[in-house]
Amino acid sequence: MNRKLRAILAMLLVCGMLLGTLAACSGPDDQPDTPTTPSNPDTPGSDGQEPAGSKIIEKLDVGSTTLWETLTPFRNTSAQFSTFVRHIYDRLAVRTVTGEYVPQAAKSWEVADDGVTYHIALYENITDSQGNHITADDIVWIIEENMSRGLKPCFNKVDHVEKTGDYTFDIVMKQNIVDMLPMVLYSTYVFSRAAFEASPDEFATSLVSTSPYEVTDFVAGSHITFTLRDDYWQSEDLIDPALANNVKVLTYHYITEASQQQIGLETGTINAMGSMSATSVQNFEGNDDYVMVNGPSSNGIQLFFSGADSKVVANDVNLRLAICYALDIDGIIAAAYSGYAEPMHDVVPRTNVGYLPKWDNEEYFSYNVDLAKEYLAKSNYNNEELTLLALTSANRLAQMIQSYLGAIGIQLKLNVCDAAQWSSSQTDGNNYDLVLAPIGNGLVNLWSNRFDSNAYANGDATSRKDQTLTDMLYSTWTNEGFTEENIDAVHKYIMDNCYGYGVVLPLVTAVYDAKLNITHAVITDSGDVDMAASIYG
Amino acid sequence: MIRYIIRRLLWMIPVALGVAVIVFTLMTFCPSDAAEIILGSNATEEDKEILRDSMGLNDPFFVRLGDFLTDTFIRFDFGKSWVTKADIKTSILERMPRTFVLTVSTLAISVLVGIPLGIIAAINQGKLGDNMCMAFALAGISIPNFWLALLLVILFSVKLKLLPPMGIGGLEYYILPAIAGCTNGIASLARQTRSSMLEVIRSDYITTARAKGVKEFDVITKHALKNALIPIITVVGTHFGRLLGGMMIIETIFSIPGMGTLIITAVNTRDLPVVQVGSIILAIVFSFCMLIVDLLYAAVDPRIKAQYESMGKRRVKHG
Repeated sequence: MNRKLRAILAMLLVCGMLLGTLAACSGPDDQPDTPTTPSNPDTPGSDGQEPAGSKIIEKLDVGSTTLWETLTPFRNTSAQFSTFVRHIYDRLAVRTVTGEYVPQAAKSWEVADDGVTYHIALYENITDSQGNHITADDIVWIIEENMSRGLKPCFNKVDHVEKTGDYTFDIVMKQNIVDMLPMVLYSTYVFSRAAFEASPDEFATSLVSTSPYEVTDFVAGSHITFTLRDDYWQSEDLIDPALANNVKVLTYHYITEASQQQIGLETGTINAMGSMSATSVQNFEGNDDYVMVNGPSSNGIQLFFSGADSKVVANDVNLRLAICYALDIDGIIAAAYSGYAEPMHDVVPRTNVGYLPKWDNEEYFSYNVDLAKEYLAKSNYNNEELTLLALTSANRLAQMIQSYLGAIGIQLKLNVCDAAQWSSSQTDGNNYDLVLAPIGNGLVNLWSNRFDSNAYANGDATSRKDQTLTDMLYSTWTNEGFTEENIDAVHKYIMDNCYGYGVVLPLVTAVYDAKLNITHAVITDSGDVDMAASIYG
Repeated sequence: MIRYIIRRLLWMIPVALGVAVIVFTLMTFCPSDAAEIILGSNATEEDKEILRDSMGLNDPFFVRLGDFLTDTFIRFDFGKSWVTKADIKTSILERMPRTFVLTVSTLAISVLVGIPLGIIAAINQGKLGDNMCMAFALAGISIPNFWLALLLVILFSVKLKLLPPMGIGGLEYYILPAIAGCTNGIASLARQTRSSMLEVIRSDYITTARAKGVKEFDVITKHALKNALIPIITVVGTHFGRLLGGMMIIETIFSIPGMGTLIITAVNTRDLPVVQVGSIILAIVFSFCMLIVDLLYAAVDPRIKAQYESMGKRRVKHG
């Protein structure tokens, strides 16, 4: 009797867990039976057309995966491209989804004949929420502080900064590098020096804002609430449409758990979720209650080959080509990204400044097993076990690459590690044969960080020393040399030598409640939807 | 008794120092580069070297260890996070109360459910009640917290719309996390209570109490349970300590910024100062828990109280 009872109890327990699992796995009630293809990234209204006027939304709650632990303006580059940063601080300039820099606190900037000196003019009426007037003195001090604190690499490219008038100043760069000055303007948060120095904790927990919003509630690691100021310094007609402010109270909630992102939307805890995980996004496909907007990420996922002499791939272009041709990108997109990614045509993502649209139509290592095997036969590969270094977030992609290479006879060992270990290993080619890296943020930025043979102790970021490529880069990334012809030459050189391979460009998917009636979704440079700037019908 | 407490408090100093040295050493030799973590992978070698110098990362290990111990234990300066630049003391003071509320509520549910379950199982040994309680305990140990958490959210937030699915606010935000986190505690407490009660319930004094006509409820609660409490208190104490540092999964699922998420994020980003200070604080709190557990022993068992008191007296005589 006792044994029977135990058996019945065990059965009941198993059934209960099974039912629970099924319940947890179920999606929304009105989920379609079959998944549909992701919505077009170019959603109506997000194409740069002049939008009509918007209804003002009183309150909006948005889910975010970006952790913002402190409000201090002197911080590293982590999360600086997040959508809500513009609500915390005004910047000198802002980068749009097309890679164009539009003025915000800086009225204009121009380069002098020497190619390294930039003349910047500020708006003369900038004030913060306490009424402090912002002048060139404040900005010069902010840039100098950024240079001395060394938290953002772009400030290390600045030689010096000097005030030339109450609202004008010069920034002198160390090198003539295209796109670097706008990055400095983009990375400079504008605030009053006096207010900052009066703050007991360098604005870490409460700040005096120059942005159109004030931070009215901030709990590190949980949420941040912005309330629209009625005394914003800039006049409505001079605010770029990409920086419009159509929501009065906006709260960003930090939600990392994929299921909770979906649940948050379904329960109304949040009205929108920026950059939702691909696994959860699928559950909203075909659901008319929600709108999905896909934008290309600013970072691609690239595969780089070690250039260290100790590695077999370093001096064997045939082996590198074999690896590139062995990868079925369509299969990777379907399986590792649930369809939410697109193929690349260069190591640089198409969203980055400097990318040439003509590359889209070029042949770029199309999946061809026979060709891959031919290159492998021509190579010096002798069944050595290669190592792939990857982040944990790219684990699935790494496993697929391992399978594809296994299919042509290349043995691959995976070294999947956390961001800290990956960071410390990825710039030394002796630590791997192949490395998967999420890189972007501009063509010049990518070139200088991956292919400049003088950048690191052992050569470039993969320990390769190719002076020819380095000289090409140095002559191309100047203001005068940044021509289509030169850029294309670098692109071809990297392709011919197969130093790197753009694997996929992930799509950032925002999902929001259809009741919001957004008629024009403004997409940011990071691929997310700017809920404040979007137009509400 | 007071001497015993003071002696135990003094023992916390070498414990905290030991934890500090171990954590510092482990984190120092973890494969990572703090400068690269702070500046990002786009930084040049020159930028990173400048930052390493300014942070003192190029100093010898023992110099850095000495600086850290001096700052932490003598100046009480916990420093700032390498990654976020936030003041560590402020971060901990903000997050500790949330973790504490979560831990206490989780433990409270565990105690309120686990101990009665164990008692019911013990007094119904081999019967339906025993089997039901032990099956419940088995399920509690077997069910993963994150899975139960999502089921609870689906039921109480999505379907019934009774409780918030995530975030922080009033006490209602802690109900689901506490239930999701308490299953392990219920299970271990129920099993421990059952086995302790079974030992006691067969004792002669219990038979005597029954023979004297004491009500069964009083026999169980006043005579049996009180004598079975020592191992139960041990489980409660260790469970409290484990919960304090081990709620990161629940905190992550329910978007509660507590100590667990603070430390795990810091470990992932090799934010050494945060990991070190967080670990030391947790070690000290855990030591306090163990002290309270020992004092509770004395409260429920006069023999242990007498033992503590005699230990203090002996030391005075020898001195």
